[in-house]
Amino acid sequence: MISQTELIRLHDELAALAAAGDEASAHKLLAARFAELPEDLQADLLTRALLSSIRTEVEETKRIAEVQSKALSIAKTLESIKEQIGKEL
Amino acid sequence: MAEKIRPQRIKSLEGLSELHERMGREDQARADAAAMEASATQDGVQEATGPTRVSAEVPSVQSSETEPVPIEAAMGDQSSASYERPEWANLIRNTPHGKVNGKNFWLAADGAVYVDLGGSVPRRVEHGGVLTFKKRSGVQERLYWDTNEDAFTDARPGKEDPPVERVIREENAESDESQASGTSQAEQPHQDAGEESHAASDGPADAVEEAASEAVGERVVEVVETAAPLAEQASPEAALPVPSPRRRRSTTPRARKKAKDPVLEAVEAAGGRIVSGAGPVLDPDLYALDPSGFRPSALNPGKFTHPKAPHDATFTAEDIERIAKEGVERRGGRVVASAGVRVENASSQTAAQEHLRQNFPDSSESMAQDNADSKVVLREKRSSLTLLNPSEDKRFTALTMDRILRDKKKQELFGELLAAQGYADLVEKYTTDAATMSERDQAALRQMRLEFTRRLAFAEEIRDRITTADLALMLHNNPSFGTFADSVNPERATEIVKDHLFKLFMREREEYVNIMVNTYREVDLVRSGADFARLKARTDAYLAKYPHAPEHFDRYIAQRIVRESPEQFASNLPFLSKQNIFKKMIPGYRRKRDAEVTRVLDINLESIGNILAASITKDKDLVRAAAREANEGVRMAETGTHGPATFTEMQKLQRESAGNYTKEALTQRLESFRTAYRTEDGRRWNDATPHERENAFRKEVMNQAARSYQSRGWFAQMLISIFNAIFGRSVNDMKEEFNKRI
Repeated sequence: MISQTELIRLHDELAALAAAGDEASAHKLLAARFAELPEDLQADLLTRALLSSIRTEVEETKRIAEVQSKALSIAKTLESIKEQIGKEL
Repeated sequence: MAEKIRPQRIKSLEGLSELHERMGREDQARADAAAMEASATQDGVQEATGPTRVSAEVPSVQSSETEPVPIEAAMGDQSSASYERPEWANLIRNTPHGKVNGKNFWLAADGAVYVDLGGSVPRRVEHGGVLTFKKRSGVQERLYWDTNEDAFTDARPGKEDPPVERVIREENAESDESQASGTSQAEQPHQDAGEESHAASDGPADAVEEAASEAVGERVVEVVETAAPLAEQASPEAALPVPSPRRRRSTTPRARKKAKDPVLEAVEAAGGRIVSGAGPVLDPDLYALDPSGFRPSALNPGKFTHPKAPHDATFTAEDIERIAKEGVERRGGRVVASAGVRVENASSQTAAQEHLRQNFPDSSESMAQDNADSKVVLREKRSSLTLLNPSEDKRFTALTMDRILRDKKKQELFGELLAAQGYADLVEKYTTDAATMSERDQAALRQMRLEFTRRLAFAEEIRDRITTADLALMLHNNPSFGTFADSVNPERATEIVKDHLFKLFMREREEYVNIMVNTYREVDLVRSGADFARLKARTDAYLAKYPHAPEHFDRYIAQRIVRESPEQFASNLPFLSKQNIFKKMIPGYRRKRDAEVTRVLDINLESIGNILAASITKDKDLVRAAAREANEGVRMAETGTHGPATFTEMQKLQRESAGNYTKEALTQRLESFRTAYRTEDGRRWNDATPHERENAFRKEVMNQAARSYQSRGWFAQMLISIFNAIFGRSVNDMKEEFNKRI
């Protein structure tokens, strides 16, 4: 099992990658060390990842719906203006 | 890829109140004309006259305190690949950028200017300056700004709110726009603004008056788009706009008169409301709505819908309050209950809520719940989209201690909850001698039993919703799950998650549990809800009508779509809100202008089609782009999906080394903690039990550490998980320290 010192080092390396916005490297690092982690920590990471992923999906879906709704409203307005101008020309 | 500015998105809104204040009305016109002349000669840019020209600059822009220094910024010479800071690559890729005084800068979509000063995050500009953008077409864009903390605000002494924006656009002499007017004036090089006005109005007095009135109306520069820049729209994916600065509303009678532009009237007619100096005005028909019928919008957090309002209409708390206050006075509004009720602070959402709470309990409850942010759950007796706070769910009856202790798994989970909540010793006290427990302990135990029952039910609910298929899909499609895809197969992962979910729910904060419960409850809604189905049908109908190419997704327009109302969006298009001093004089101007307006409308309608197409494509990256562009904040790198979303979130991420949480480091920290320690009833360290000492120390350290993990993203969750493991080990190794007396 991974030692406390190694775990601290892993945490700090991941935190540094997070601060740099380098998610790809962080994912690689975590995947490479995943099997060494205590089972409880593995399960915790996996569960948090699932819940986080579901939450992102829901938020994105709602945001997409918002974009669609507002885009259609704006398009309706623009079409009305276009129609009005067409009548005047 | 080289980036271009999309000229027809550019705004030129000038607030010149300070000029007016400084010089007074009588000197205004003369000063204005002189300023225009100075502008025309200072930069050596010859300007042709005609409706397509931009022709003004004023001394106040270049005050002594903020003398602008022209800087050439060659747009498109930089690329995200050449920039050494990967976390800003996306920002660079998606926003206009260049160099100012040797510093990289970005014009963010919210109108701010960010500059790389070498720190970990970009800074907003502190000083004024001038940017000159060169485009492939040869057109130059000149941006003046004068900022303090907030970009595009006047930071000079004595210049307080409101914000003053200055964007002056110039076009070079080679532009063929000058020919668009088809007048003799357009064929002559521009000499000065005074002469231009003179020629146009057959009298210097008229010209000066016109210029003066423009300045008084706080607009001195007109931007009129032409066919030349429009041609650049042929490849919209390569074009990037300069964000529109905030508009300063006109306050003078003359400026208000401009709002009567026929095109603006068309906007008003189409959108049902316009932006006026008095703030948004609702469609009069909406004042007939019953305020008690408002419900939180499932699609727009913080907004409300009404069953009798148009499907697309959303309302703010202020709208609702206005309807409640004024409904009876307008068009036969039937807001009986609100008659005579006044809310002193009409602009306050709190006041609106209080008002509705007192007068319309039903709707105020919905509002309050909506504002509870993530603490919402479905309530069965309402419609499927009505959400409520799970922490107030009264359905649960607390399990008895007998039932908890009889089941090994429940016993273990209850222990997890008590430890996380700082009551690890309660079970021991209960099993040792329940009769001697203090009232405080008994109350805490009752509360913990109820909390345990609630969390257990939520965990069971989510466990039943998780399927292997969901997990398999996530493992392969989601970057965060991709991390584990090679390590865990879906079946095993499902088993692990379902089992661990209970522990996680016992260990985590109430807020986290509520968020996750509601997230899972919303999954069904967002996937199969009727509102979403209707939106899909309307989107399909639109796409059948307009040509679209999802790969031409326009990020800038996507952001504007979410942030602007339909009428704001329309009025920010070129021509739609601009009065031009030439239009009265040039024959056929209106016809030409309207033809250009139609072209601009077509381009924007097509852009909207591209965005809608991207929103329903199967290309996940495009869909995510559509969602992300609508989010607030400046995006960070997008190498993954669940990283910190904004600079603000990035700043909140863990900066402290986990090395500060070793057994040795914590033992050292415990020394000072011991001497300052007091129990809730005032006992010192020596009078407390080891459990109480440990619980208090855990809470203290965890509360401090939690501040480093405020981001909601996957990164923060990952780091929290590892940190918890480190901290848990360290504290377990120092048990004896809690037995020591001082």
